[in-house]
Amino acid sequence: MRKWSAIGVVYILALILLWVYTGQVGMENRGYVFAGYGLTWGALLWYAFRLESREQTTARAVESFEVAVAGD
Amino acid sequence: MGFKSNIEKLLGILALVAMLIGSYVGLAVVPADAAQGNVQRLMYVHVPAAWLAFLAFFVVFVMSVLYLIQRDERWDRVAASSAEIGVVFTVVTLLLGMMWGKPTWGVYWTWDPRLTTTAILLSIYVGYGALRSFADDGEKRARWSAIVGVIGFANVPIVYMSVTWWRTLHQPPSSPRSVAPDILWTLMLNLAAFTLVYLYLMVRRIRFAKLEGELEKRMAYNA
Repeated sequence: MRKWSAIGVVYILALILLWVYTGQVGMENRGYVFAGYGLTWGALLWYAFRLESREQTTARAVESFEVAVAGD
Repeated sequence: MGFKSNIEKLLGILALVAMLIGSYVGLAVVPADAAQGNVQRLMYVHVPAAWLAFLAFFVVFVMSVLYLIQRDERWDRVAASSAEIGVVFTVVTLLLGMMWGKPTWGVYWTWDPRLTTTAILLSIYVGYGALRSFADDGEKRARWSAIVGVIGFANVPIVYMSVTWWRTLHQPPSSPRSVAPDILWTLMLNLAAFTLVYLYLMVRRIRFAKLEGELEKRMAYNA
């Protein structure tokens, strides 16, 4: 989970950088461009995170069955 | 660390680097579009997301056909994984379309044929996912899902052709002859990056599906 906290921090920093960059170059409609790229990265990172967390939960459940069978 | 795990890591790093390069080029290197200005930069994420959603649902279709012929649960696992990732790409496509639609059309959403057929596409594959979670029996679930996977794919060519068949606000499909070389190669670069992301997510999702199957078998055995 520490890995994903670090990724979250980098993501937020990248969003700030993107907002500053679009402001500095005077990009018109910067809000839409910012939201579009932020959303794309956010959605893909969120899905990768969810996948990892679901996998870990399921792996733990499989493991607990193994322990229960070994204990019988 | 196994060979498979190394390949997965390498794929993940490649996908990340390609996405970073693709976003950088799309945002800062390629010039703004002469007609639409900077908001056209959304095309470099919107179009690849849509293409990858189509590819994901095509994989669902092929794997569903293979499952119905061979009844091998591996094909079902690949189909289910691809459908889930396809839904993520479809949601991203629709939201990006809304971000692009507001400054160009003046509205976030309109019941335009391309938008409506894409919304139907999303509903079909969300339904596919719901069906999988309702069915308890693994064999039945795989069979029903495969049938939906085959029938549901019929909407993909309709979505693609909707801008040609009907009068629509949405622009027609871009081709190498209709876009400037700068736009084309940036689009191709982002398409390659999204494809790597799809492959990486597929490897991980299939591994998870395998684990889920294992858990289900153990639960059934202990019941």
